[in-house]
Amino acid sequence: MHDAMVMESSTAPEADDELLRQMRSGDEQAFVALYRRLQGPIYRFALQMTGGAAVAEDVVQEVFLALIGSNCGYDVSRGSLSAYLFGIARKLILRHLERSRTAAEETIEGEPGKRRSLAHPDPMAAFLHNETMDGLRRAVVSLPKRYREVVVLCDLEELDYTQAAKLLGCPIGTVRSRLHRARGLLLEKLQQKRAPVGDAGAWKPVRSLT
Amino acid sequence: MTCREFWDRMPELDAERLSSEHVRECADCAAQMEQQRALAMSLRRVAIQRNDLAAPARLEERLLEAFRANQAAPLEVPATHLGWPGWAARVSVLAAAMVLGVFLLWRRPPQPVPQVASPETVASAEWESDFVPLPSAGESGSAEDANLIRVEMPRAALVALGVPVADGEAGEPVEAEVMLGMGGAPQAVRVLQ
Repeated sequence: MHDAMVMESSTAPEADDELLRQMRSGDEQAFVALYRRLQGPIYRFALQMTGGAAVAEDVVQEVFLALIGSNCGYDVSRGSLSAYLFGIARKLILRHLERSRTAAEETIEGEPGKRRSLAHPDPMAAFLHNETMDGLRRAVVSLPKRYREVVVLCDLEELDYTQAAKLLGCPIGTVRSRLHRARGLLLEKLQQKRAPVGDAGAWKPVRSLT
Repeated sequence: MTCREFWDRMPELDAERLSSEHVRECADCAAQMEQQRALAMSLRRVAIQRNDLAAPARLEERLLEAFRANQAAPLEVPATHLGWPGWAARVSVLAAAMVLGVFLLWRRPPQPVPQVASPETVASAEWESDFVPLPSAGESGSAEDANLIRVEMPRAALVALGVPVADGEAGEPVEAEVMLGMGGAPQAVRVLQ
């Protein structure tokens, strides 16, 4: 599991809390250390959720500005600092995605049939030219956001179901069922685009879920 | 166990079930489980490839500046009645602090004399009241589109921004109101009398 992504490990949260305490007493190095411990996973989470490096950078910036603020609402009794910051990042990301969706819908108003292509600019075509990893990354980004976030958290950032459920504010069973559905969708996407190039047997949908 | 019952248990999420009895007996489900295994491995490879991805170094520098600015003049955010989440208001206030730090102390050449915004300047920025646009204000729109938050800012910072403010010590905090654009970026500021 990634070093800074261990949200509930035996040592990381305490180390984060100690750095936060030092940071709040004005220790600049503690702030830098805390930032370096936590920014990577948050950046990757935002990047994979939004598909945009600039947006991911903005998310990280706003998350840590919130942490710097004297009224930071982190409560150690309610979870780890990492989980708290991920919660802020998730809100920012969902807000961005909602704004983007609204903007896309406004742009294509009166042009039926183009909505999907604007929301995800031709990810299918990318499959034909970018096999394996790049195609899979794009497939993840093209998932509906509730499925995308469980794949990013559980499969890419390697949170366990309990951690993901806590972060998403839903039962563990919901995380599992969404991940189950998300992986089925990923296989369908990969199969749909690989079949035309003569690789029909490589990927098959598991089955029609739900 | 039927195939449906098997998949209803979401076996691909539990490695121990990879070798379940049903998989050994059902070639179709065994093939599908193999696809799931391949997908899981591919996702793992993607995860490894992206392990090194991180925010650009310039962001650490910007945040460090914000940290220093906050240490020099902590900004308290009174409870807002505008319906914004508390963290959003804090982010915006700190963004304002960053604007001050960046534009007044680091990235701008020394200003010979702090300029006080003229009424014409204010009017040209389309703000309807005595708000003074910030140098970084990039959003256009009316005051009806904006949100307001109250902050305390050093008197010197307000003067340097061209905000009319009564005489007093440079470091003395002055209560001010910051106008935030729809995107949350600080747009303008005014002193509360």
